Amino acid sequence: MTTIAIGTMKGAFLVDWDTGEVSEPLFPGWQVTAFGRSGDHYLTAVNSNWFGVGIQRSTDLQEWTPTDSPPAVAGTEGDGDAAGGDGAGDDDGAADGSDGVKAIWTFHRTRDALWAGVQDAAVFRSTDDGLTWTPVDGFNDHRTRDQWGPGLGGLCAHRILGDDDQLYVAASAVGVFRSDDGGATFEPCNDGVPAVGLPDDVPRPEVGYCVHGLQMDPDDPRRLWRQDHVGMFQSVDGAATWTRNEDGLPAAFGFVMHRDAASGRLFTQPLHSDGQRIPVDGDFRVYRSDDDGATWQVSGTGWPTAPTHTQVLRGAVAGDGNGKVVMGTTAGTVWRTGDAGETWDELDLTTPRILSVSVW
Amino acid sequence: MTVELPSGLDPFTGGRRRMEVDATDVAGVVAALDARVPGLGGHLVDDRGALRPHLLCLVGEEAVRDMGTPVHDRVRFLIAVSGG
Repeated sequence: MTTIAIGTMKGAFLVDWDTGEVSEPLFPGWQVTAFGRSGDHYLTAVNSNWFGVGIQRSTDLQEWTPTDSPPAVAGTEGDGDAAGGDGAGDDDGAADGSDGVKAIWTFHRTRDALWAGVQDAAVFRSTDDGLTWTPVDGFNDHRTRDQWGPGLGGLCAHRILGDDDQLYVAASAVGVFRSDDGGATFEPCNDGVPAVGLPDDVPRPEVGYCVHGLQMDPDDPRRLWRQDHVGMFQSVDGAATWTRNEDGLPAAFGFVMHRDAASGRLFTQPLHSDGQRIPVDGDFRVYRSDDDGATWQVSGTGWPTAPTHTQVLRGAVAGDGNGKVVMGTTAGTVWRTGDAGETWDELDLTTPRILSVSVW
Repeated sequence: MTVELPSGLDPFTGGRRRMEVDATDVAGVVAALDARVPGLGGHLVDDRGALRPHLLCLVGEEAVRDMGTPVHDRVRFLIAVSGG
């Protein structure tokens, strides 16, 4: 049985892949910002304008139990605005800005630990499947921290990839970082990517790169793909250098970067521009690359013929690694493929604005 | 004394919206709730122990934000209109 988990501005929904049966709302009224798995546990990160951040765990997707101590740091800093548009947050009720942790945007399981990326940009590590968390000081207290600033979606660490030996963290609007020592230290890795808004004659800053989406080849962790604010990039040297490649895309802006492990196919959802953030000409389409990002084309069939002005946020894409890929939109619609992007169909439901999805 | 909680906390209280605790001030109420339902206190106060900004705390009929405010027989936590 395959379950699609959909995290929205106002709760989560579980959908049976085969029957389309939709669960009752889980955590109704709470923003559901990330899903994860660790050990026997399914994890859901929730967030409330009134009540702050929480984590719920389940072993059967039926009974959910809150954890006692989600990631937290004392004090506040940064933007105080988790509002959305840059792929993460909201436009009608984001976190209150009173805490160091405003939202949990990603979970990532490695061999030895479960990792969480949060807003304001920070990384936490758990060795008990998410019950308790330890701040990753090598990232959180980085020497460049005083230069970090938020994107439109807030200052958030939204993607963690790799394994304990070589870990990548993507943070908007800061950039991609790599750790080769289990998270003890991190170095920015953004060479080849322009900094947003800076002319070419200005010296390149060490941070200030607005990575929107990041994926890695688990069989070769040196190969990465990046949907950035300023375009589509790939790296073949462990993020040391990046090369722009947008051949076939109707626009280079967007938030989605997903890779299906079995087929090696990449998926993105192009948007007109940072100023508009809607599909070009109302043509909502997922684009696919069959050649590691060298060229892109519309992914298969099934797309709407009517104008469809919606977008997929960076956390609202997931797959099973074996041909199933799901994307949720800000309009509350859900698109899926079961054949690595040959055909797509829309689920028969409409939810609130979708922030996160998972395929379990 | 009786503490009343908003329905929005149902996922973290198992749906319990009324609890009896022993406390002498608001901070003590939060501590007692957290002892009863581990983690619940963190949804009422922030990391510095202050009442979350979009919550309202009524001691009797008076809205308070001072965590040292003495409590008697009834405390209510409500979601404030400022929360959206």
